[in-house]
Amino acid sequence: MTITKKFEPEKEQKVLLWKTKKFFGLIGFIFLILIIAEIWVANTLANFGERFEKLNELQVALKQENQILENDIASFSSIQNIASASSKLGLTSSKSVKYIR
Amino acid sequence: MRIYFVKSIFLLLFFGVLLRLAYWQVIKADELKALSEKQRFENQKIEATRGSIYFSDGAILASNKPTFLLYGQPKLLSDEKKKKIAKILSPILSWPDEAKDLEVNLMEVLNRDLYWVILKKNLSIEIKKEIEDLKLEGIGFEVESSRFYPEGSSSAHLLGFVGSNERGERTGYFGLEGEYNGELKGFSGLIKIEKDAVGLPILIGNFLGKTSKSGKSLKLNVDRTVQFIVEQNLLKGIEKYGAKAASAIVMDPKTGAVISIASFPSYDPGSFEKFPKELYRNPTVADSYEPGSTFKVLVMAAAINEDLVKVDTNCDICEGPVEVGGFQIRTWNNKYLPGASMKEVIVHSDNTGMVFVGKKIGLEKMYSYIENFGFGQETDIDLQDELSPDIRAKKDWREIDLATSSFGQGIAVTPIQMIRAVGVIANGGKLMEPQVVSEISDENGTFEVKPKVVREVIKEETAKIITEMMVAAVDEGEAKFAKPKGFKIAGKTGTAQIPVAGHYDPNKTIASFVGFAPADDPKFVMLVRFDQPTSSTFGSETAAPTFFQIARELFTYYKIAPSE
Repeated sequence: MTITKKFEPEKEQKVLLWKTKKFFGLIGFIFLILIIAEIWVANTLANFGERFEKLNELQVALKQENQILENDIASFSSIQNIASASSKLGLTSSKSVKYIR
Repeated sequence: MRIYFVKSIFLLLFFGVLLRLAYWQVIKADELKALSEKQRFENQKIEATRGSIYFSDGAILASNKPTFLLYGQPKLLSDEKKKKIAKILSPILSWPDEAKDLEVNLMEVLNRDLYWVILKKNLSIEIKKEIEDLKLEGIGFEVESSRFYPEGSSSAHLLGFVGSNERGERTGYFGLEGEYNGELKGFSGLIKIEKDAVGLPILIGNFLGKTSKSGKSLKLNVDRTVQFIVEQNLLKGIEKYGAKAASAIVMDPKTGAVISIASFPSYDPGSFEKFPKELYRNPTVADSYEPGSTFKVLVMAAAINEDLVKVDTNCDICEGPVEVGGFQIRTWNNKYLPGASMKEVIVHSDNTGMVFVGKKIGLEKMYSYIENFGFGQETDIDLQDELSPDIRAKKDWREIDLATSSFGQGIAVTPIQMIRAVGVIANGGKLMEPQVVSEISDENGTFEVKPKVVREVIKEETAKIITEMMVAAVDEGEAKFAKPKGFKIAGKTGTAQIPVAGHYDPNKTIASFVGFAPADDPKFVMLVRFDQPTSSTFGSETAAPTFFQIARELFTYYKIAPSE
């Protein structure tokens, strides 16, 4: 006995068409989402210019402050300053140093 | 017929529009594109941060500080507002007694027919904040950067200063700022940013260009404590001995590392423009002088190295003044030591004994040793203003020149050449290259400067013999009263007269002392020099006590215990 599979071309074509439509639909949807996302990002970023400028200014100001503080530390710890401060406190250099052998 | 006429008119108009479009879009395209970009894009020059300079312990010697330029916009201000600004700002920007003059000056500047005028430069951040709090219209600030020196005017000759070149760019002059300007200045950047209608950056727009690259930083061999000790003692010495100028160098003889370099009178690198230009050059590397008796140890080293004399060789011309080429050569105190040994010649700084040594060496060898000790050529120290006095050509030397050069007259040297040459004795005969900078670093890493041996000038045994002679010169010589007790110091005084209009002025001298300690394992070699001291003209009474006082403090600092 020979078993033959019934050929159903119409049904298969319909499934293929449905799958293709679904695929393109999905691509289209993703594309749409991406376009919306891009518009949203572009719009948001375009409005961030002012904030970006402020952050830039803040960065410059902080760098300046940092430099000023570093310079203050350098001034206070300078040997000229230490010598002057120690002299005001009445500290003098030792006239004779003894070494223990 | 009329329809054709109308058609022709339209055709002509169409053709005219077409031509106009072609004119704007083809012929004028580049120009318009440039104009549009100029409107949309903003070019920002990003100034590079100048590299800092650090002492050997990492403490800052020179860095940067933000300063501000105050500008005004006269076109935005009414006469009333200009008057108000000038009146309010003048007491803030000047001393009370100068406020009235400044007010007049500010009014004059604000009345100029310009859009933008400079009102004041180099303002501190505190002054800027004070002015900002006043909320005045038509003025603003631009950030600038200037050099910051936490140690004040200390080490001015070593540092040099930062000024402007002919193009208005910040440039280093003299000293380290001049020598290492290429490394310190860095590279400016240029950024092109797309801006919106109100001048704010568009984040999704174009960012073009390159960022700035900060300058490299320098770490020095100079020790700030030693520098302080040397500077304080030189200042005291100038006052005590009534000297016109003073300078000193401290060097590590084994590596050539410059531990301290100082000279007075000096200037403030932060306001160099207020000082005479003659003060800008570093005398320790740019001033030439006759070394006098300090040169004797080098001539003696040459003679011993060539086996021409020994420590106990007796001088056979030392019983009185020596006649050379029609000139009479005497000792400094007119006292003579018949048959003096070479050690005694150095201890008593005997000129006649050195003439004896000079004759033994002869011109050829003397000239060769002078060159080998590094005279007549730059030491290649990494400071911008170094110069080297020429040594007279060999063919021009007369008999008297050979005789006088043996005791350090008729020959010109710089202090850095002299200390390097004496460093040869302290370093077992090897001549080193003096180095101020020990490390050059940037974000990519650190370049370490290695010690450089130039050549071997004398044998190690010769160096030891000369060292012992110099120790005896300190222990038994004219300056023994000032020597720190218990320490073995090798040294030699020098008193050189200053040539004036073809003769030597007996009242004007350069008093110096050069030596090293501890003599057996030298930690430092040092040269102290006073120009025209008035309390005494002799090196033994001026430069030597200052040398010993600095040495005393250095022994404590380096924790060197007395050995005797």
